[in-house]
Amino acid sequence: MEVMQKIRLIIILALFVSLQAACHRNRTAALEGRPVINSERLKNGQVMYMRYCESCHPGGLAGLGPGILGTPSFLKRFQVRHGLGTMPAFKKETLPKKDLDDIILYLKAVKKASK
Amino acid sequence: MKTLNYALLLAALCSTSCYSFRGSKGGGQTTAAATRQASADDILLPAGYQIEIVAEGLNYPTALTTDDNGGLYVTEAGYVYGDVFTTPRLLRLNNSQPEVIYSGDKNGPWTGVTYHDGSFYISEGGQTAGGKMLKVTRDGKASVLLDSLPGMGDHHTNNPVIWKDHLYFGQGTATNSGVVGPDNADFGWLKRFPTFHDLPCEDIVLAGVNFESNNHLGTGKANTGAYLPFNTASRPGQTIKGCIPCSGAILRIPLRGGKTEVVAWGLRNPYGLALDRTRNKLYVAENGADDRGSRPIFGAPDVLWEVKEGAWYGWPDYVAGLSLKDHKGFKAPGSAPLKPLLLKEPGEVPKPVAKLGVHSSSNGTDFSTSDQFGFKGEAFVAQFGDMAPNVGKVWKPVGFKVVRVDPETGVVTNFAINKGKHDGPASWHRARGLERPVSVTFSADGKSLYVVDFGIMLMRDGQVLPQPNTGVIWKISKKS
Repeated sequence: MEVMQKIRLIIILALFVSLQAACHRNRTAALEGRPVINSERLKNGQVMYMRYCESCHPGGLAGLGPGILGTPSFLKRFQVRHGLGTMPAFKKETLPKKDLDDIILYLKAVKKASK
Repeated sequence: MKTLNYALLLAALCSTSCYSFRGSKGGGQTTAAATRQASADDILLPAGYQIEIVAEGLNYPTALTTDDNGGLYVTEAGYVYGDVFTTPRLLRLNNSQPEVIYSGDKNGPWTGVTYHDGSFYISEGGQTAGGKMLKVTRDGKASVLLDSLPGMGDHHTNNPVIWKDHLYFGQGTATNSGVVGPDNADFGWLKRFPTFHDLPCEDIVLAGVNFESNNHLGTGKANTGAYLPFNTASRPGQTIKGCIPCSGAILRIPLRGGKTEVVAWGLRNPYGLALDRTRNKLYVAENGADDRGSRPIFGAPDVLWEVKEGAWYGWPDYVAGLSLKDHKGFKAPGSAPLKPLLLKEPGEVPKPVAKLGVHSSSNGTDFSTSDQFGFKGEAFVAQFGDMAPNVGKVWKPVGFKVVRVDPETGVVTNFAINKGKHDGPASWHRARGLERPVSVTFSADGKSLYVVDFGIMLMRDGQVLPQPNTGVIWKISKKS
């Protein structure tokens, strides 16, 4: 990837991370069944999210790290593979593409369920 | 254009990722008033469940147990971080005022209680005289089953579980990550016990890594090695003899008396020991390492482990089953790369059942045994919540809720949380819900879950400020 292209991606990622905290809403409804895990890919995405992401971004929200529900998927992928800031990178040997795809799918479902 | 891009990059990095420039927003870092008015209205549960207040105004409650008749008994800690000492007490909750069954000595915190065959078994943390296991009869007569446990440090002697005619309990480590340092002076215990340090359960061989700090027991600099007193350096190949009792372990004693045995070791603070009656297995919620002291560790999650007899769980050179040497993400920003303290690893480290929030302080744990309550076979974990910034910075409050964990998949799901955009204690939300859940206990029939809510603990200007008489007992059950 071209250096300037990388830089632009990082800038966009950073801006989205900064802005996304304002994007999710108050939690007021009952907790259960959100999101509905109704496919093998979602099930795998949930398990992989718990293994690699949940402890720093509980439920996709901010914790040790920033909230990530509002971050576009392509930026999430970039961050996972490159590890900007204090977050470690997760290479394909650790987190295969299929599992990362499933994590992204799971996060989309979490975001949809939180609306 | 190029310059603008770089300027934007720098600004963006500083605003989002530059750890050292960013402040911390922990749950205790609030300017809210330190008074409490609890209400179930501000708490979210799964559909079909309800929560109510059973008792309030308790002084740092830590655990709850029930007797044969469904009577409720609660321990009050008697010692709290911030080096605050009060009287540890066992209370029976009545409709009116709680009845004091037994008051202990200035040696808290009492971290747990269980009822068995007409008596209460209490874990006494041991901040001044070492950890103990107490047996208290219903009419308040106490005897010491076990004493001289290494509970004078950062972590204490933890809650007991009775299983297979033995009393099992967790024993926390003296330090964050194996080395006595400036953080232990801040805790208050280093000056009380200047030679106290971690104790391995088996012989270990040190790599000879030492850490320089200010000398909090004298002047100038101190140089301290692992498993050694403050300002005592280690050397490569040095053997530290294993001993029992040891720190960072699950230990047990026969109920009828006898020798203390090691069940598992290499744990940091195995707080939430719990028996899963569905699988007939022991599990423990362990508090992960902090970003503090001479050997800070970044991003260490709390962990739910299955307790396997004879296993070594990796502390001080592993976090959540991952080697500190191989996983660079655990290096705290601005600190030196982490080196192993042990020359030879004592065993193969198991895989965690589940990873829980970094700094969530995942503490008391119990398993659902009832189809009527639901989630049978899942672990319920009370998350006390972060103590940022003293344990490290956080982006937003972590914990302050009850989660459930499926041991088969490691999936963690919120069970009882405060309303609002983020996790956080009621005081942070300026609301009336959960403050700091410290333990959970199912009723004997399994139909209700009691949540022990420690109360308000603020973090201001580096000080830990627990607020007395703000503890609450909540009861969660299915709506009829």
